[in-house]
Amino acid sequence: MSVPRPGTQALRAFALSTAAVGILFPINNYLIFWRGWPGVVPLLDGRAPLLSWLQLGFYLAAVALAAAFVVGSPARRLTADADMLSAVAAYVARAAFWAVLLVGLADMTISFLRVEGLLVDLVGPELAESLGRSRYRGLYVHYPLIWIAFLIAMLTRAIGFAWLAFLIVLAELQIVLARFVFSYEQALMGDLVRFWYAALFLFASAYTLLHEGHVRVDVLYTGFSSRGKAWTNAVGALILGVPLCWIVLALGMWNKANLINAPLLSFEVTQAGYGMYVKYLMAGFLIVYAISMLMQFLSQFLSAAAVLFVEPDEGGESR
Amino acid sequence: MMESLFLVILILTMAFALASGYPVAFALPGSAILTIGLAALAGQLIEADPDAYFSHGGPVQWLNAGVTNFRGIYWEVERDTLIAIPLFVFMGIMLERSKVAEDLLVTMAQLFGPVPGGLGIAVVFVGALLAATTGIVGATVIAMGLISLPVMLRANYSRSLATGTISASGTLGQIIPPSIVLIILADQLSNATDQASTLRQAEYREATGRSTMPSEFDITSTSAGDMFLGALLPGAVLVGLYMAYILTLSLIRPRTAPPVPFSGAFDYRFAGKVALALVPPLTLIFLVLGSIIVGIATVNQAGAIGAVGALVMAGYRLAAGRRGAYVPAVLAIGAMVVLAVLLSVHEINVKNIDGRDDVVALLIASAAVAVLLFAVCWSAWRAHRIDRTLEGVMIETAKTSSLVFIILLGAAMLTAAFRAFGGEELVRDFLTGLPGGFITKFVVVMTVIFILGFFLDFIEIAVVVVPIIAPILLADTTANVTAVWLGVMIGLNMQTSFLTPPFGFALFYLRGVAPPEVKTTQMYLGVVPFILLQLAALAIVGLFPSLVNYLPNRVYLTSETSPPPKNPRLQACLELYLFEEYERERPRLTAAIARARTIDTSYLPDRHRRALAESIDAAAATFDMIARVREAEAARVTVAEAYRPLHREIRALRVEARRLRTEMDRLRTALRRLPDDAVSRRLELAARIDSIEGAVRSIDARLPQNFAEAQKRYRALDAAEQKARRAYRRNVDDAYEGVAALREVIADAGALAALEGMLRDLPRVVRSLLPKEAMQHLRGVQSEVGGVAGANHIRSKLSAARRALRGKTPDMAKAEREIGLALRRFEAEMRWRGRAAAALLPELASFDAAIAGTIGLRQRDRLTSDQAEEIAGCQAVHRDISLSF
Repeated sequence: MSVPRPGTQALRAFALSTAAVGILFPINNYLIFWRGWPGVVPLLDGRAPLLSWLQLGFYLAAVALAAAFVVGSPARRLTADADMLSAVAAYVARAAFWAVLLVGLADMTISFLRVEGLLVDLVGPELAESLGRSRYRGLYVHYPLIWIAFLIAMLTRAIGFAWLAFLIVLAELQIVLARFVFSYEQALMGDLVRFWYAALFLFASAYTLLHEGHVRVDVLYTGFSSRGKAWTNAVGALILGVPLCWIVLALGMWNKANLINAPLLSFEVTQAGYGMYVKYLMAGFLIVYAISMLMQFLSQFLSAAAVLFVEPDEGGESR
Repeated sequence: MMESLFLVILILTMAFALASGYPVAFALPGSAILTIGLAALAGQLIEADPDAYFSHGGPVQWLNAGVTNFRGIYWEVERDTLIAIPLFVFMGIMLERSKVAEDLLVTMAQLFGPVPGGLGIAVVFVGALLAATTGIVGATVIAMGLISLPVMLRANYSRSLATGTISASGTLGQIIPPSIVLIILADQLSNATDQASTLRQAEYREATGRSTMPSEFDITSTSAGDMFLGALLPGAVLVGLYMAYILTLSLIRPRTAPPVPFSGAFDYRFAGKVALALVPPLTLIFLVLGSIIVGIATVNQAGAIGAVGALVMAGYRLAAGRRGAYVPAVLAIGAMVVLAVLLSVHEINVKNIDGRDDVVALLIASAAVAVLLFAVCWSAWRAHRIDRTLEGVMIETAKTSSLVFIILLGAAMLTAAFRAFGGEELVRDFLTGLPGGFITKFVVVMTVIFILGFFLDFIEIAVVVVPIIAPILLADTTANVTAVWLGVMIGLNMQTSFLTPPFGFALFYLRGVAPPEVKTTQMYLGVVPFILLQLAALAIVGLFPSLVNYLPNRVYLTSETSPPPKNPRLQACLELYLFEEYERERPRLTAAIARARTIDTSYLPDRHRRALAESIDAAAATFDMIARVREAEAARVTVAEAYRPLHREIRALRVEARRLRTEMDRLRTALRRLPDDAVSRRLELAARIDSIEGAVRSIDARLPQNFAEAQKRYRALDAAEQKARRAYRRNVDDAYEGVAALREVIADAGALAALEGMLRDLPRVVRSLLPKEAMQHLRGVQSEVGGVAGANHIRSKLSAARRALRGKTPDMAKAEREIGLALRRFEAEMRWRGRAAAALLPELASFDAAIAGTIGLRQRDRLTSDQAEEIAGCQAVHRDISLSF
């Protein structure tokens, strides 16, 4: 076991605190736009309410915690942190998978019953009325299911999102059978396919990066030494990958009217009237994408740094 | 200018990021964000304005546009076509993992082997089929390299020929539907078509001063289904060329492709094996492509059918040798057969179940669907249990879809940055500034794509290059190419590029799996003839655009949603076809018209008699009208010959002048923005503006003086031709409408007769009721009568009766009088209609039949399939419409 170098400690601290701030960002965003908190920005004016300081405190605490963790585990390898970040990315993708699975099935059932006028008989006119409003359905059907999904994701280890590939096939098959055999077509059936298909490629992205699935132009890359490859990955993750995630997060959630916040806040639904009420969640997919990719890029960065900074015998153990 | 500098920085960053080997999906948006950030920073530091170095807009706005594009990939319903990608990927990977594809290759090799060159032909054939199922170049090349290369080498095929055949066949996946490339190209091209349409409209407004462009000058857009149809014949041509080459070579130089004796016996067992390996995949491909071609299923639905079919096939292939291996497949097929038979005899609509038959049909259908789903689930269960195939396929599908889509997302961001720095205008100016019209532009673009194909995969090219260049090529009015044709040409071109040494992707993939005794130079040598064949195919498709355009057009015109013959976009071809038809049919038509004139119409009411006579006159006048159109057309065409070169020259000059003017505007804005103390810079800019002004003036001076004159003359002739055509159209419409209307009136005699009781009761009923109730009753009768064709004059009398009852002093006597008149009119109507139904109706029907296919065609709901074929053939040819601009 080699003596830890201060350089690698700094890299770890950087990566972990970035990850922590990344996770905190949507949470603060939730506090600002759903709970009416002031956010950190008023601090620039100097006359900020206490809550602004508190929100800034969250970020500082996150950074401090990350730093403390790094200082407290000096012998920990870069690759161990990289694996941890990958695990976080996988957890996010897994939770998101369970969420779209449960929400997709539940919402399709409700939408179907509603379109066919069966909902009133089943749950009574009052509840049926409420379920016809996207806000109510979001708050009392989707949100609980999403919480459950986060729980399930803690308890399971399977790569969930791959099942979406099969589920898309089944959802589209359902359209084929309903249309050609029973002459039955509804907007909600197409909505389900779209919902799952967008989830498939966005949630799978982090896994694909981890398993070298994303295409590289390998005219030169294949000829690089393992150090050369590590340089590509470290620098690329840092200046090409991480900024992308931040741009998506920041521009999507900077204010109320941005393209992630606006649909989420208004529980936007498709124009097609009697479709599913899940379009607003598809804006949320971008958060899942950005967060899981941020974790994965940082993980890639640390793995590559492990090759670059650690002695060859240890470098060999890293991915 | 500065934004051009940042454009260069963007491109260099991108090139560097790509060359470093960082995943493309993040290199593209990453370099976009980096450059936008850099430009904003530089602007802030140097000019104290972060927007300074953008062509227009600012960094946040462009990044926002980028993220919006990013989200747009799955957010907009119009881009649903892309959903087909994971479905087809699932199908392809399932066929590959379950070894169905491998069986196909091995069996075909055994079957064709004994023929000279047969093994090579089998490889091409299977390559085409596999391509049709996977559509992924790398996967196909690697699979075929692993399976067939050893077989070919053992059979003493020349190494060059063997490797050439495999790499070439492996790239067929690009062009043979259902290929992912085609889906992505369709997605990108339909966006590009919208942009090109806007460009063309602007050009039209500028050239003619009119506000709206007639729809026949619009660009033909495309969809994934169209792309599949369009690529079908070119793909077949390519496969044919490959096969012909191998066959010829094996005959000329038998040593390069010797026959392979088959060790087994050609017995029933073997025949069964062949059938089992060959028939299911072929049927699946037939089903998937067929349902798209016939137009009954969307591309996505066909993708689902393909994926489920592949799953069922995997279900028996994976369980091969076990007991009951084929049970799920047999169940699925049985259920499908039951459904097909049932639906052909009885249509089911769950929303409208009525009667015992419907219930029985619904029950049978539900049972069949349940069996089908059971079979699918069973197959899936097997795929899940046996070697965890399903899991592997799902993960592979997820990864492949993700890699495709994340690149799409990234490119969306890059496109925003490219626009931010004025890249689009730059490319447009460069391309429009090229001498030599469409051909030069096209060749330049194709060469660029060809070279990019050495370094980038097809997705990157399709999503980065196509959105920039396609609008410009599509907007061109001289070539007036369709989006489908452009897409297929780009697809063919990229495919050639992937084959070309030293950088061709297919060669890299094959090199990876080929044994070391195959030298790289041999591979390069072997692929050369195929590159030549590819170029030949490109030339063929380029010269005969009908190869691409015919099928989509034909399917469109014969489909359920086909446009009516009156559609303005069809008129040019419709008239071309009809005018010949008139020539052929002239004797028959004149005879029919002459006969129609002799019909006894003396007992018809005046208005009907006159209308019919007018109609027949109009029909007779058709030939004159055509002659006039032809004359006007000939006059225009004679002038057009001399006018065309002049027009082209002028347009080129005008485009150049416009380009210079926009450049000048840009420089002026830049000049305004410069701080006062940047003296040298100011002088430099002013000098450049001066020189551009001089250039514009010299262009204005170069405009030929006789142009205005020539243009006026040509436009007048063009207008005259359009007028003659409109007159012809109005005339035939009148001719047919009159006959059809009278037929309808007579045919409605029964409906009129049915009202007799009600009408005769009317005086009594009205008398027995209060005025208000009587009015109510009359209104009911009135609307009944109004529903009958040609009974308005009766209705108007009833209405007069009702009016008489209105108000404070209802005039019952007058109402009864009016009712009496209505009854009289009714009786007269019944008399002549009765007589006409017997004597006139058959005559009219035969006249109608004689003119329906020609004079009456514009009034029909749809073209007959023969006509649709003719028109599709005509529409498939690119028509130069530049003179109208």
